[in-house]
Amino acid sequence: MRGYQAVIGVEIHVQIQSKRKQFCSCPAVNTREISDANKFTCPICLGHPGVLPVLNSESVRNTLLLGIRLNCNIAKRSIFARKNYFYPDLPKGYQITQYHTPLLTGGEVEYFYEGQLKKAPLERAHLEEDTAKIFYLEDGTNFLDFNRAGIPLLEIVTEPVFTSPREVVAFLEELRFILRELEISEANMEEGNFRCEPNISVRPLGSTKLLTKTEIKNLNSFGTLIKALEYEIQRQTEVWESGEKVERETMRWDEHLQKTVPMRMKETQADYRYFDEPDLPPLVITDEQIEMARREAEKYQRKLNWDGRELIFPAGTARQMEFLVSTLFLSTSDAKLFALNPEYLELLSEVYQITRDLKETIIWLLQEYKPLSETLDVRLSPNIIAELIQIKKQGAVTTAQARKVLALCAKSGKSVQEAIEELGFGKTLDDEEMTRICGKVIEENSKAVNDIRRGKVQALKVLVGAVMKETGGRANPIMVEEKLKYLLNL
Amino acid sequence: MKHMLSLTAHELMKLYARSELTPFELFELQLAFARKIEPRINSFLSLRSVVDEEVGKVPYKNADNLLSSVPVSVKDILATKDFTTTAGSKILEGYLPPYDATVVSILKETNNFIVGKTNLDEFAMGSSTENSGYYPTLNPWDTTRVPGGSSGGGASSVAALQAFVGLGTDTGGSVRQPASFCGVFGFRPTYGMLSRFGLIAYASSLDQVGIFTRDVLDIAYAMNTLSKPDPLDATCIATGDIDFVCFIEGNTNTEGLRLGVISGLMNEQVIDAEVLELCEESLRILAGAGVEIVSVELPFIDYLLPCYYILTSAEASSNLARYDGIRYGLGVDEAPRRNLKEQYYEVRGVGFGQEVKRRILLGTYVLSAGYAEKYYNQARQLRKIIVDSIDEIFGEVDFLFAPTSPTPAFKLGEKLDDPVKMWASDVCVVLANLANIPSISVPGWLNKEALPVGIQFMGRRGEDARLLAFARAYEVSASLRFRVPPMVEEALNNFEY
Amino acid sequence: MNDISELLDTLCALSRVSLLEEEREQFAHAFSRILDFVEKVKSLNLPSQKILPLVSKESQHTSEDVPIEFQFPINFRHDYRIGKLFEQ
Ligand SMILES: [Mg+2]
Ligand SMILES: [Zn+2]
Repeated sequence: MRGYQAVIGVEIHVQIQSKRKQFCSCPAVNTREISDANKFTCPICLGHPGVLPVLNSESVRNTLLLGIRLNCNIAKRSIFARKNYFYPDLPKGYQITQYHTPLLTGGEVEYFYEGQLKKAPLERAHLEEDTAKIFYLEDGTNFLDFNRAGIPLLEIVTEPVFTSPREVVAFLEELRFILRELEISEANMEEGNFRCEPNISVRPLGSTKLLTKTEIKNLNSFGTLIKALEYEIQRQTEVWESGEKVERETMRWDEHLQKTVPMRMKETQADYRYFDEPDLPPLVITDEQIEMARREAEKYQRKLNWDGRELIFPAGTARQMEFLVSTLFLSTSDAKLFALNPEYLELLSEVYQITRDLKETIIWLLQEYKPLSETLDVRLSPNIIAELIQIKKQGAVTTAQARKVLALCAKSGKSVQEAIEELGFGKTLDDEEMTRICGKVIEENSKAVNDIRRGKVQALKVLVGAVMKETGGRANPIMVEEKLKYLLNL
Repeated sequence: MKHMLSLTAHELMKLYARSELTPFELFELQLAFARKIEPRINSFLSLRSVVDEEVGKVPYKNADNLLSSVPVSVKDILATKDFTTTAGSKILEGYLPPYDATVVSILKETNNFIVGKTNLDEFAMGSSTENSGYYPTLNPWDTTRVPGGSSGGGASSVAALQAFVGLGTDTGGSVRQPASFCGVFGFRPTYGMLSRFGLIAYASSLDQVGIFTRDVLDIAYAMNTLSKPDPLDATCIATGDIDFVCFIEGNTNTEGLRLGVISGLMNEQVIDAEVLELCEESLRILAGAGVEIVSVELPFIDYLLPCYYILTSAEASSNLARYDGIRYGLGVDEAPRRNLKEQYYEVRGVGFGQEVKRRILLGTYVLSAGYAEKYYNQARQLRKIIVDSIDEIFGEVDFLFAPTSPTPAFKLGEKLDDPVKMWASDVCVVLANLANIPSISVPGWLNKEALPVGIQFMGRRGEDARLLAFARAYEVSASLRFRVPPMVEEALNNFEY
Repeated sequence: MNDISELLDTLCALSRVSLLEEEREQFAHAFSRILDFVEKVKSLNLPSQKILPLVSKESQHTSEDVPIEFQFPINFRHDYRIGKLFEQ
């Protein structure tokens, strides 16, 4: 990147899961079908004359929960403010938000990136309300849907700490996961309940000065976010290198042009004229509320019994990733599968407790059990999986057989022994039959026998293979070899 | 029977209780006279044409000191489902709210009869009702004069026997000043005592529903009825557990109370000489009733008005941003055909009157980047100083005294050209709003031109009942009786019913 | 007068208000009177101290305590359309 480094921060607007809207009693529901538009509206969220807002405490509780989880400072007394600007999706001509006193300040999101645990410090997170949704119609007019107007929003702002678009995505994925796990938001980008607006500047490597930043809006997937940021880094670098100056402006990603273009916002040049919302008393948070949020956050912790030790992980994947990768030396991709799927992580600990073979256990859980369990939608107890792994390791069944046994257990609910029996695997042949088959094989493979007698011991493997084939895999190859040696007087 | 129209509400309810008359009979009479005199004063923006059987036939219920089966006029800035509600603005012409204001719901629940929606200065911005987007209201005492404002129609309707009680709103004297001009009582409670839900906002932190009546007791009945907790208004502080009527009746003694006369508002440079004389007369009566009269100084008195106009304009610029003609009001039908820019400028340029535009621009100015520190924040700090000074003064005195208005009702058009001159007529009333204390305008005497002049008492924050008890004691000592303006009296005499 | 006219233009744009042709001159005059009037507060230069909260009440009930129910008249609009936006 020719000696320039990117400095990126992100603003995320999260729709907070709640039965009701932020300031009225309408259901907080995003429109799925256009025929449902404007069904969930009332004079309050439509900004009719004379109405007043009344705060929804569910969204406050959810925000406190997040605040505890992310170690934020919780304001004991925060004041709502009006952000004034004109746009048809803003029914009152102002958005009720928090300005001087956000409910949450500071704190951090831990995320796992490039093999290590990293921290993204937060500047603030504040409560506000969503705007209406604009549908662009073919006849050039626009249709306004006020179902979204007033849905509780949390605006989360990070410090400008990221240096690459991929790192931003790693952070966002983790934040999204935490929000979902804590049931604070569905955090779905396509549905619009998780909207990211990165701000970005570049500076010469080694410099600590922040240069002019631009903001990018309307990004609807991580893919476009990466493309837009990469483009913008390139563009800004070129601007500075050519001796020009980067303008402070708001950009959007143009999918057709595959580039960022400035939004034509001259008309609404921001002067938001913030002032205290006179219709709402200060939001006062009591110690009891904070204590409740703390207890709530504890409920979402993951507890893992690992080798007799109890490990506690906060909601999210980062700390688990760190444990799996740095302590257990799992590959990042394996670790991710376990961190994203709590039940597998639990299985891992329980199966490992019995097998004491981490490598085998991981292979059997991720490669064999996981796809099977997901296609059949069946769960097996850790004991079954562990038993199978052990039997296989003792050589009672082959890998291929073990796979079949696992499938049968999953499908039928049979025990490992029952499945092995039904499949006719590992049934120890009686000595008579073994002697008969081995004798037969010796007779039919005179060439190999001659080789063996001439000292070419590897040829014994040919005979073992032939016996195994003859027995349909029911014999233990080690025992077969013993038998053959005995019969050949070796 | 028709002379019953000049009774007070509690006198009227006594007649109901004694079965001397039914609410339906009274409502029909009320409506007939209100409609007859209406063309001469224009109190209303919409006036009911018939008494609905449904409303009228409900028998009077003798409830505990509540207002019940009383004809009430409601300022057209309070939302009503069954009357268009315009806030006096063209931008809301024909707008029918999908809900009732809380105070309106309560009036209906208690079987009161809403006569109509009274005229006002557009969005309550004005002191003469000449800024109505429709037509001015005339003062029933002299139809060449204004009734005051912004709740001018409310005051004139109670004076002109069109309603027994009127609901107005008082952001900076908008109930008390017209009460003074029309010779009726006007009360502005402590902020939050009455729900603001459904009150179309002008300056939210100062807006408060106010009450017009013909005596103090009726205010107490109205407060008993209307002052209730409201889940729809987060700033409402009403508890509903005080009986104002009982309180007044049990607290008639004024002996030894201290009344502070705000000297800065008794200054002949500001206040009309005749008004001052009438104030002195009232103070003599109070002294005779054992009240100790002391003079108090209020700092920054010259700053009250600019401070008030900065704060209210700032909030107004935000409160009035919702009128864009997209969801309701003027311009809704053209919205799909206009580009957005046209939509805003057309609707707001045509829909708002001059005074409203001036205040929106002023409000935008004092809040905008670089100016908020110099204007808006200074005014907020000044307001704190005013509140602190008032609290300190109330440590020394029980009540405060000032004229309600520097002059009696002025001529139509007299101050229309100069907004600052018009604003100056609010000098005595804005204090109560800025300091957030209850205040009442009591009709005093008639001046030489037979125009009413009011005096103003203010009480401690939250001590609304105590203030009303004091005003009641004064009313009794001064033997005040409701006076019907001569023009109205004559109309009533000629009224065939 | 020129300054005030420019200021008015800026404020009109910020407030999405247009002045009718006949209003303009009178308006400029009235507005400069208003500015002189509020200048008084600016010139006070009060020491920066704590500002009184706009809402003195310290507690609030929430919409969960009492859900707000509305009954709508039949004519309540559900189709909100507008024309071209700035960006289109
Ligand atoms: Mg925001
Ligand atoms: Zn709603």
